[in-house]
Amino acid sequence: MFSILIAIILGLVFGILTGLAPGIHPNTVVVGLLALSPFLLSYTSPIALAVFITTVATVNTFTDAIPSAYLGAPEESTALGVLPMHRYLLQGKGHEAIMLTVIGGIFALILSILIIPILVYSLKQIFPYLQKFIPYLLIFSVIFLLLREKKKFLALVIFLLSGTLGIITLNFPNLPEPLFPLFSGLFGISTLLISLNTQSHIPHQTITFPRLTKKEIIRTTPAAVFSGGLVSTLPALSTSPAAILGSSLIRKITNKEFLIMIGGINTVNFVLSFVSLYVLDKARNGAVVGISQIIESLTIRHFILFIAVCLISSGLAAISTIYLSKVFSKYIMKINYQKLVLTVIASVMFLVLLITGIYGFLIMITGTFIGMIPTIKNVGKTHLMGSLMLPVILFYFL
Amino acid sequence: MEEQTLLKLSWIISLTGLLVLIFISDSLELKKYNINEINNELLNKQVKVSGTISRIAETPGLIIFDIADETGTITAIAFKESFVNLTQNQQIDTEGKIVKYKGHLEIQVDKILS
Repeated sequence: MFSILIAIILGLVFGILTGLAPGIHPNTVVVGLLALSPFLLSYTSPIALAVFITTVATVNTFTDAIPSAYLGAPEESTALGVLPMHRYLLQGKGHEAIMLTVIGGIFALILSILIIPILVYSLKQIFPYLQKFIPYLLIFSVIFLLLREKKKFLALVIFLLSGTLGIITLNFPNLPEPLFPLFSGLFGISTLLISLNTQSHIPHQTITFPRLTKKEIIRTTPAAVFSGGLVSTLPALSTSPAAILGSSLIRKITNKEFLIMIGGINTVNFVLSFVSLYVLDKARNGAVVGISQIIESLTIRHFILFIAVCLISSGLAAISTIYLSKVFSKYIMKINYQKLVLTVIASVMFLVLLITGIYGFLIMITGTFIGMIPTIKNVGKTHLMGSLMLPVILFYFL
Repeated sequence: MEEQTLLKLSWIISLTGLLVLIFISDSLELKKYNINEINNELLNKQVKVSGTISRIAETPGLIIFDIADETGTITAIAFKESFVNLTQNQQIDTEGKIVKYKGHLEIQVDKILS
């Protein structure tokens, strides 16, 4: 019990750090932990390590909104939130944007935990049928996303360019952590460079609380749980395309509602990926892959423990995120924005070089320039998810 | 930087980067291992192994065969539609990923070079 408490506290610290540092994903922590696990397991139990990973990943789903809002530096999961968050920041209401994602995370978490019994019961029956349709569902999502776009041809070109980069990266011989340079380039550094090129200063920030109606919560929470559920069940469908699919369920979605939904999907995806692991024995994200390697067979007791840890760490993460956002609001306009962004870019580049070597670095550079095209041409960044969707679709058909 | 210049630069570097990566990825030589050198540290890594097919079996979708060299034997699995002309005692050079199946290391074949 004591080791679990320690694991949660350490997980909270690492979750905050990975969330705040753009380009550093919880997967990086998982890889390091797995490498050290023979040593760590002589001091602690596999359960404590798994609880640590669960906490890092859950907390990260809350805290990663902070760099998205204040630095314009998202990870894939928050990429679509950057523009609406940026609008809030330019109105001096960066904290309000963060509050919306936290509220979305908490409400969607509660709803998703309530439906877990139904999911555990039904997923086993539904999945064999769903599995046959996965490639078609993915193709449908791609077509749907392309047709929504005004500049359809350009969106297709961006999808194919990032898809080609994804195919090369995922098949690159012996490249460690291939998704790290891929996403750091496509979603992280590209956004930072654009924001460096266009942004000179951040206006004074005031701490405001969002005014929400019951209707707004009721409209967004089920959509977030639906989208997060899709991401946690289907391979290669990630948060951004799912958010677009989810938002299409809501008529005339506002920026406010979109941010609630993004916050929700992110957290739900992680929590429900335990259902995929428990029911289908399929790990749908890096953290759960790590857990499945540490704990070979997941029992119902493990499952309940991990869901409880998700709940506890979400509460801790929500409090920490709100506190940290207030600190950011207070100090962000005093910091030299250019210097801060340049430091972040340099750190991510250094880590990519360190972890993935020169070939990973090349992938990141190529990804960065592909990632800048949609922002410059005002096309959705979600088409960059071709980097995962195209390789998976081809895997099914070739 | 002007937006148009940045856009041109993005197109040029994206396309050049992709071409360079395709070239590097195709020309990278995998390290060749003796079968007794294959251990857990190589799990999920791509390797090159040469040897003779000492046993061959088929399932509806897969060909499962053992590759033997002077240092040992390893089981290899390959998708049937990709590799149809394998025979017992054939000398082969393979490239593939080391995976674990039921506690044993196996090679999941990507390419058969000869």
